[in-house]
Amino acid sequence: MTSVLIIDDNPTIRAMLRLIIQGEEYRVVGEASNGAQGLERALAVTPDIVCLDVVMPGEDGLQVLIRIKEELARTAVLMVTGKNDRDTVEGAIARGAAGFILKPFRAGTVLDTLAKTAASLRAPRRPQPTIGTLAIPAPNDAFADMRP
Amino acid sequence: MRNDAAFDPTQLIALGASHEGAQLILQGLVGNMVATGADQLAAARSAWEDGRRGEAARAIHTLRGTYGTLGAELFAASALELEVAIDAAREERVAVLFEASERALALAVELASLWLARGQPRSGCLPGGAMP
Repeated sequence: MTSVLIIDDNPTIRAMLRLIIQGEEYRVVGEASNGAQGLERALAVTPDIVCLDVVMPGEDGLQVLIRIKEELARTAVLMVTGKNDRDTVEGAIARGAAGFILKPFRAGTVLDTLAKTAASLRAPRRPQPTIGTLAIPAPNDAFADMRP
Repeated sequence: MRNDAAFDPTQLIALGASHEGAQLILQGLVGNMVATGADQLAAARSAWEDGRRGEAARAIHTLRGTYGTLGAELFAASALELEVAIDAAREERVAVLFEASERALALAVELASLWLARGQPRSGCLPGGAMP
């Protein structure tokens, strides 16, 4: 079973993600409402996947992403965001994000993204970032000349 | 204006049936939108009118993601345009889009109230299929 940690300051989004994710294939192993709590929780439970909000008060999602990847290189981080602008997407991928869940989200899209990410974790090669159901190339190819 | 775009409870119905206790949680989330949605949008408008542009944009961003995920699709679409207009400081466009977003949210809240009152109907249509 794949373990998932949810980090988002919005209680409605956390509750919706938990309802969507929790099931036979995934176990939600924790929630946090800010980056500091989220990092602490991630270090304690070492989840397979983190669903991480981008826009949060205090330390934002991109800063937390860097710290999670420094400490837990094998954990895949999916950025939960309402912003799919180039800067956000490229910034997150450059920092090691495995993919994106775009808000507002639907259950099917979230589960699709999780399934692809979980499959990438099991695969021997480097995980490929995904946005919803759309797989995008890993940063070492198509994004190589676009990274900040 | 389609009612199911203003408030589409399809996802909520499916999630409500998927776990024990989920229905109660979802009723709480939708109830919160009904109870506080208009006030939160009004607060975002006040922030804009007081010149706190960043605060207004962040508030609209949050409301769009939250209420859109709960099924207020029309509001989410309008709020996305509003967020872009706020970021670009297009004052006339912002005023128009605040009004459109307020109408869309009011309709979502009306339909969501009805959905809550009825238990869990398949759609948010008003009695007799009338448009609000």
